[in-house]
Order: sequence, then structure tokens, then C-alpha cells
Amino acid sequence: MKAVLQLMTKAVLAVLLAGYASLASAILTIEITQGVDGGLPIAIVPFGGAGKDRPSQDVAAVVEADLARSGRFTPLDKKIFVSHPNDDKQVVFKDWRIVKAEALVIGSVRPAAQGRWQVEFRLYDIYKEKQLAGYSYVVAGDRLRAVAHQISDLIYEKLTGEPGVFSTRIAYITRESAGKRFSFKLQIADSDGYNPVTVLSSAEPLISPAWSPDGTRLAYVSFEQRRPVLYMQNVLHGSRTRIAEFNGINSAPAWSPDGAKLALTLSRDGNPEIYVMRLSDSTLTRLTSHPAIDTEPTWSPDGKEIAFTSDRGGKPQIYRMRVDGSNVERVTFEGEYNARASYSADGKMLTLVSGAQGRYHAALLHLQSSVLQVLTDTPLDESPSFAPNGRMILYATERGGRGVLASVSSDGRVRQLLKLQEGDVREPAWSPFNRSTPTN
Amino acid sequence: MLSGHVRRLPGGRKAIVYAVLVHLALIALVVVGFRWQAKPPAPPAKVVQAQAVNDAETQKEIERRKKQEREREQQETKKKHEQQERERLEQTKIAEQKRKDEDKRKAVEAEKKRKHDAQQAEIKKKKEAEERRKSAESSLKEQLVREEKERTEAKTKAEQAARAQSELARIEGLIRQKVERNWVRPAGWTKGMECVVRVRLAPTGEVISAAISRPSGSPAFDRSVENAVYKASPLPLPEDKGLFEHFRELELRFRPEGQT
Repeated sequence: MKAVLQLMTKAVLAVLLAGYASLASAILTIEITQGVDGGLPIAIVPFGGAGKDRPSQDVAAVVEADLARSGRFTPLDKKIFVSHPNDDKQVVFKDWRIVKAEALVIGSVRPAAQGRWQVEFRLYDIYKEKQLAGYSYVVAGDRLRAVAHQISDLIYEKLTGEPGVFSTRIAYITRESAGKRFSFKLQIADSDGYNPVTVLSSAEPLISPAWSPDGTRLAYVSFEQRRPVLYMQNVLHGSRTRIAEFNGINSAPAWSPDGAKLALTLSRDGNPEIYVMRLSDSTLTRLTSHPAIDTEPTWSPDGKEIAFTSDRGGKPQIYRMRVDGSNVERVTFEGEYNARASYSADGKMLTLVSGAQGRYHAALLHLQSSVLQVLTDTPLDESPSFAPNGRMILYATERGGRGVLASVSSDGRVRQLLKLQEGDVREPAWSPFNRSTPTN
Repeated sequence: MLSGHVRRLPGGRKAIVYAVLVHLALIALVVVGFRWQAKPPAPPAKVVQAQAVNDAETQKEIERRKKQEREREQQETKKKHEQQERERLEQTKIAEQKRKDEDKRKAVEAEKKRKHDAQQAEIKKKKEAEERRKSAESSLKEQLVREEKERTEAKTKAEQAARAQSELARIEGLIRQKVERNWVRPAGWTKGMECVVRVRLAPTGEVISAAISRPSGSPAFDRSVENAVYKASPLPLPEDKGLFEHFRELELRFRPEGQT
């Protein structure tokens, strides 16, 4: 009897406990599926410090423009700021929660010895109330923009977990009228279009600049010999070599990810075909063999595939194949014109020019789903290329009858023109992360 | 009552009456005795006649009368005794009667008492029964009332539960809306990404803590989720403080939808 009672007690207890347990675990779960698709709200307080000596560059403004251009941040309007801290002790997190900022950047630029500047900045997480980054630099006045881009990169990486691309650079071709003739230049600039440096000037057209994976060399096509010839130029010291000057077309250079090979288009055998050249000994391998035009090769990041443009289907479309030329397959089916593809860093997307009815837009092709996403609404976009982190695309477009550079976030949400250079700007190419400083 | 009347006559007056009666009877006897000379005179009637006749006779008569008187007196005494006896008897009888009456009365009274008692008992019993009935009735009533109350309470509870449920759902919706308004989804999110965050709330709705319990794999995404929760603070809560317990600890499951 007692045993039975004990058993019952235990059973009752068990039931109670089970009930309690189920109650305790019954935590309300709320599903959140919608949100605001936008940049992370960030407050960038104008940097303090300078007294009567004004630095040549507004570092905070450069940082703000960088972050805004990326599309991943929405710098908040300074008019709503409650306080304007310049150092750690002045930061009141509540002030920034009021304006719904998620992150805060403060800093200062002060004169240092030998005409240099000391730049300090701090990045805060408003809701965790902690500093995420804090650095100090001492630089010459002409390096202030570079420091600003480095700060942007640090902020970007801290808050997104991905490397920023603000310290990378872009190469592009400009065309200026010089009397009756034109002057063409191959230039390199900061990722925001500032600080352009001319790598090469020519009276004849220059096209198709392509960065080597280490960022030290550019391959390009020059018409200086009145026909397209392929060159390679070291951006550090300006030395250049002729790579391909076969009969017919020598064009569309593309570096293999390891930097040892170049894919290119040659018509030396009569019809534009895609070849791969081993740079160490200039040996050529022909990959395509089709009566249609095959051109604009581009390497997948893993180096195993090459995508290219071909009109073998009647109209230009994007195809891909293995690096030995096998397994050719078409990848674009939407739109009557698709060309000039290049891979994203993760190999999952191609950016390309997609055209229909005479309008050409920068677009994104999701390789797995074959979904083609048009990113721009300007009519004559060309030469799109991914930023090395895959989050932005640089392209050329037309404005007021001349070519300008623009960037678009890879979700198509934020588009911005880069600083307008003189003349007509075309054929942009975004550098890899490994940047180097040109000599001049 | 006979006995009472007798008792009212005093003894002296009674004797006179008797004497008159006897004399009248003697006169009657003298008259009658003239006719009946031969016959022995009736003793009472001879008294008056003897006076009128002679002394011898008178003496004799006196003797006789005396004797008669004695006899009469004896008779009288006897009668008196008898009377007394009778009276005594009567008294006894009365007493008896009285006793009997008393007994009877007592009996009656006893009976009465018994009856009364019985009646009382009956009344009591009835009363008790009534009370029992009443109490039973009232307990039944109470039970009914109780049941009704319970039913009402159950109904109320059910209604309250339903109200609470709809209130919970309403607040859930408000929380969802507020968090969604504050969630800046970072570029590069894809369908299938999921981040679960455990949120602890103060009774004011202030977010005490938001801890990622299941990360999405993207630090930016996770950060956006945490910030969404903090930015939405204070979260809406039901006005009914009793429902706060449901919201003390929440799980928010971020699963973006609406894009490729």
C-alpha cells in the first residue's frame, strides 16, 4: 500500500514537473520576416581638433561618403544630432539611441610635427555601449584621404564582417579632345574617383584595362599601332611589355586568379576565338573553335571556368566552359543582348551588360537560379566590374553626352556617380584588394 | 351539587325540622288512632294523644316516647353517623374523586404534557426536518448557486482566457510591427537566413537583454537583429499587468522574406 502511494506520489510529481517544464519552455516566439532594406544607420560626427590650421581634407566627410556609397550604411543627418562628441569622454550613448543610430563614429584631426596631421577615430556600438575600434594615425596632408578610406574600411569590416573596398582603386580610360584630335589616358584613382594618376597617355584609343590579381600590373589594349595590341604595364614603375600583337584582333585580356595566365581574344586564326596564354613562356592554348564571335573571357575565382561572350546563338549571350575549353554551356537566356561578364569574388554571380531595344544596363546574373537582375536604369551602361568584396559594381554610363563612372550596390539599391573626371570616362576596372602605390 | 347543599345546613336547624315533622306525624296518628283503637298505635302518633289522654298512659307514653326519642335520637345519631359516614364517604369519594380528578388532571396534564412534549418534539422534529430540508434546500441551492457561479466563473475564465489570448496575439502583432520597423536588414541577406534572439524584458517593456541564441552565420545579419530589438525598446506590452509574464522572456525569430 505504501509502495503504491509512493508510486502515485512520484507519478503526480512527474506529471507536475512535466507540466511545469512544458510551461517553462513555452516561451512566446515571434516571427520577424519584414524589415527595412537599407543601410545600417550610422552617426558620423564631424571630426574635431583643428584650430586655425584647417586640414586639406575633411576626413569625416570622406568616411561618410564612402560608407554611404557602399549602400550598407545610411549616415544620419547631422541636424538631428543631440551632441557632438570628439573624444571618448563626451560620448553619451543615449543621445544616439534617440536618433536611432546603431553605430557612432567620432574623431579628431590635429596638427602634428613636421606639418603632419594626427588623425584619431573611434567607432562605437550604440546598443552594446562599447567601442568597436579606435585608431590613431600620423600622416602628411596629402595622405588624409587615404587615411579616411582606411577608417572607412575598418568601420565597414567591424560592422559587416566583410572587408571594405574603400582603399582599393579603380582603373579607367579617359578621352579628352585635344584640338582636332583626341587624347586617351589610362588612369588609376581612389575607389571614390579622387586622386587620379595617369598611367599612360596615347593619341590612339586605349581599351580594356585589366588588373593583375596582385594589383601591381594592368593589361590593356592599345591602338597606338592602329590595330589592337595587348600590353601589360607595371603600375608601380610604369614599365610595360607587349604581350600579344598577332595578326588581327588582340583584345579582351583577363588574368587568371593565380596571375600566371591571361585569357584573351585573338583572331589570328581568322575568327575571334578565346585563347589562354601562359605568361611565363607566352604559350597559347585555344579554347573555342566556333564560326561565331567568341570574346570577353573572364575567369571564375576558382580558376576552373571561363565565361565569355558569344553570338553563336545569333545574338551576343554569355556562355561558360571549363578552362580546357570543354563543357560549353549558355548561361544567359533573358534579354536579347548580354555581354562583358565578370565574376563576383564568391563565383556565384556574374555582372554583365544586359540590353534590349537599344538600352544597355548593368545587371547581375545569379548563376544558380539563372535570375537576371537589372541594377541600373541608365540607357548606355558598359563595362561593369565587381568590387573585390562583391558588394558593389563599378560601371560606366553616360551623362550629358559623355561617359562617367558610377557605382551601384550589388542589391541595386544605392547608385552613385563617382567624382566627375575631365572628359569622357569609360572602361572602368576595379582593383583587387592588394593595392600598390604608383610611383608618380 | 348535592354534597355542597347538605353541607350548607347547620345541625340544629336540621333537628327542629325533624321534630316538627315528627309532631305532625303524631297528630296524624292520633286522628287515625281514633278510628283504629284496637290497633297498636303507631309510636310517633301517640305522643300528642297521650297528653290529652292520661298520666299513666302518659308516663308510659313518655317512657315510650323517651324510648322512641332515644331510638329516634339513636336513629338520629345513627343517621347522623350514617350521614357522617356518608359524608365521610362522600368526602372520601370526593377526595377520591378529587384524587381521581387530580390524577385525571395529572394524567390529563401528563397527557397534555406528553402531548405537548410530543408536539414540541414533533415541532422540533418538524422544525429540524424543516431546517434539514431548508438546509438541504439551501445547500442544494448553494450548490446550484455554486455550480452556477462555477459555470459563470468558468465562462468568465474562458472569456478571460479568450480575451487574454486575443490580447496576447494583439501585443505579439504590435511587437512584431515595432521590431520590423526597426530592423534594417543588411544588404546581402538571402532567403533561408535565420537568426533567433532571446529577449528579456522589464515590466516597462524595456529590453534588458537581447542575446543571439541561434546565429545566422553572418555577423552583420546578427548585429542587425540585436540592434532591431534594442531600437524597438521599449516593446509594447499588454495593459493587463497579469499578462506580463508571457512577455518577460521572448524569442524573436528573424527570417527575412520578400526578396530573392
